[in-house]
Amino acid sequence: MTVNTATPDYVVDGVLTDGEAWVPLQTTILTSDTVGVTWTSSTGANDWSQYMDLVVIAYSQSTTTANGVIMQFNNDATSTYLFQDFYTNGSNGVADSGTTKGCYVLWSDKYATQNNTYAAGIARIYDINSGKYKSVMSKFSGVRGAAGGYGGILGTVSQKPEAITEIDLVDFSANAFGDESRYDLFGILPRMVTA
Amino acid sequence: MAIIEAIATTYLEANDTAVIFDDIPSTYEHLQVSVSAVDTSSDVFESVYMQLGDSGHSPVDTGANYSRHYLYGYTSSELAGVEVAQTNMWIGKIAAFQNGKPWYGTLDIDIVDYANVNKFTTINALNFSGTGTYNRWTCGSWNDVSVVNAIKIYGNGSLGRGTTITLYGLKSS
Repeated sequence: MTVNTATPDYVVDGVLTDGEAWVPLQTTILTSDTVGVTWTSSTGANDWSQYMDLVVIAYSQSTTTANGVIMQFNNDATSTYLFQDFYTNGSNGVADSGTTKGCYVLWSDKYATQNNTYAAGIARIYDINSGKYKSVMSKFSGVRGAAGGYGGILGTVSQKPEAITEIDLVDFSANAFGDESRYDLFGILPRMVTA
Repeated sequence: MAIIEAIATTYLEANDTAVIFDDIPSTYEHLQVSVSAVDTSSDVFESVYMQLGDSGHSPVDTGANYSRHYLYGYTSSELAGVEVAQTNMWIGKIAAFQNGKPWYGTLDIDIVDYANVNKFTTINALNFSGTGTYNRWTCGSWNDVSVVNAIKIYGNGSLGRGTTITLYGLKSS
């Protein structure tokens, strides 16, 4: 794992200057099958309190069962997250909603079924330092070769108003993520300007 | 050199009828808008819209010059539709004030090649209501070849306090 704790070069004497809106924070590339990935806020560029949003880009595979990558915020693993899915299963469009135990990033298949195929997902976590419930939107592609696959848009909301300081990426069934799965975290800056 | 720059963020400290970005520079290749918003009505969620304009509008085009295609999921129902000659682009639904819960809807909007004077302006918008009951993908068109220099986002009611909307510019190499 790499963590960017360098002094932010977009802050000069305490003033946010023009520059990159997306700041790379953490990258995790698995070198073996691994159960879960944890990211926490720390210092410098990786101090999440300075960002408006966070974006997760995942390229992932399950090891044991066809499953998904979910994010649990601040160690909240309760089934209190609300979701609305809208996806294709290869044959039909499907909509579904309910409660779950994390915010979806993507759905993926297991290694035995898809070999070198990994699912790709991009999830944005909105207004992470506000007192709002934290909404997440994800778009993902979970192609599974001859087996078809899934793709679509996933919306999830964490019903907690606290600022996000930790993200646990976990397999929905607590299985391991496959070797060479990759997860990147970016901080997204606002720009407050005076009209 | 920054590839994605934050141009401006609007944070509503009080309810307001709309958020408008005007005098947008034409020096980027594409624009993106990130929205975390709530509507002030008392429904579960409410529709949200977008209009665009160039320097000849005041500040956006309110004529029937927009088209919109969309797919959406609403609990267990999936639906699609198309509407042409509209006065806006219907880009989704956002949570409304209710039960004192801080639900906010979200949108990611791409406005592609917005400074090109030979093309109508095409957008796509990804939306989640924030309530766990609605999400949507919208393809929209402003049927005008003008450079986009203004964006207006508004709801059926007003946009509620705490709404944040940021405009980003994407550059090429």
